Amino acid sequence: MDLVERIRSGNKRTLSKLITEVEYDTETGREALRELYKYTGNAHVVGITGSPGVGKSTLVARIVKELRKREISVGVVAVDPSSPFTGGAILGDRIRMQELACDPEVFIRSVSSSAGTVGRTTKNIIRVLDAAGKDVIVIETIGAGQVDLDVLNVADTKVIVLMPESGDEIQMIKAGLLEIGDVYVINKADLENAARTKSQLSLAIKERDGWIPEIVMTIATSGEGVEKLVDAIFAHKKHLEDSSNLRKGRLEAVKSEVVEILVEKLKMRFYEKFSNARYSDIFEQVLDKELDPFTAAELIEKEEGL
Amino acid sequence: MKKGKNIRVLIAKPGLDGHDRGAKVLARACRDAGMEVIYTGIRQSPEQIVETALQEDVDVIGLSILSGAHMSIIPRILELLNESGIGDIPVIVGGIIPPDDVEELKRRGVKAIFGPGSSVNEIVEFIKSIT
Repeated sequence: MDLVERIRSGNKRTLSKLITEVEYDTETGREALRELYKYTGNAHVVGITGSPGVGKSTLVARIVKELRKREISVGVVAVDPSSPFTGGAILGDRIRMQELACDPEVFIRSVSSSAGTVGRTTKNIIRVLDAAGKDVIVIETIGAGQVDLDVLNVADTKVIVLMPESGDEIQMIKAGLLEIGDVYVINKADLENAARTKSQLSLAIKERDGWIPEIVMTIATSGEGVEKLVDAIFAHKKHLEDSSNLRKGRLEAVKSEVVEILVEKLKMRFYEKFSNARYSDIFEQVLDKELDPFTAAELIEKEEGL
Repeated sequence: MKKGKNIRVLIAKPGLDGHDRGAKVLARACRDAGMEVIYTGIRQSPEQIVETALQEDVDVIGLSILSGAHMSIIPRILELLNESGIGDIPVIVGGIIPPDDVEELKRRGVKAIFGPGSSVNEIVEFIKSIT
């Protein structure tokens, strides 16, 4: 059996090994992605983000359980931070999900956020799981910084998890998270002031492309509200399918991915050119303030006929 | 652009004892040595451990056990690893294991056993040497 067949037939060992190849962007990994690409695009990708400690892992475990109750197969990609110094990481999201470890229709993979390429890595891991036939793929992000947005960008439905007292009204009107979510969760809804957080949140979010983001109250530790949350995710999926926004969104994503690949290639080509000392004069001049970096770039552009 | 592959270690506690300090200390030491540690926490069944190793494509499995049930749990894990086609992943064990059992477990395929008093560095170096 060839690789594609083994992946499509659900061979876990092959799937797991291939994810490693894809994670390290190896030749084998790229070759497999080329072949698998036409089998992707069927899974619905759900991104879950929110500050550390807000209950993402517990919630993801509950969501997966609810999906399994509905006989939907699931892939999970759980991203945890890695050390910028050693590259080491403790990937501990599984602790909350180990009940699901032996379900043959669930595949969970922990990923460290190393090398600043986690957005692309995650996207390609999702593709492998998608081609392997998972109906829904849940990505759990770290919960901090730009890395999160890179990861979240690959999701069809973006779920933002908050908790009561997670900020005053000013936090609520800041730009960012509260603009990009499709579904908002107020977890730990049994804490005081959950209702107030909800009303502040409902004032902060607004309609986007014909979809008014839903707010769902949950208590992940008991599972309360999770059914409603999964309903909301599917309502958003249906909205995307009905409104042609899914295709539009994915077309944008395709465009930016191809551009990204081109930029990467160009970058490599420039570094190669720079390594053979041809432009070292220019760099020295910039360092000595005889040239500014903008002019330097223009000179190189001209030289290269760009 | 990627640097060399990080070593991926699964650290799991099979059985019913909750003494996870050793496992956590080792997890941190491995992290500081640049490894990716998949930490599953306590009370893991052999099936959960083997499935996790399979899905996470780990290079080493570290089991911490202090309950005394090692002679029933560890052979079962080794058996399941073989059945799942990942019997090639080295297994190391930490905990309180009597000398007779140490020999027997090694005979059955456990790569190394680290008893009380083992240094963390020694374990980290051992993991590096077998991956």
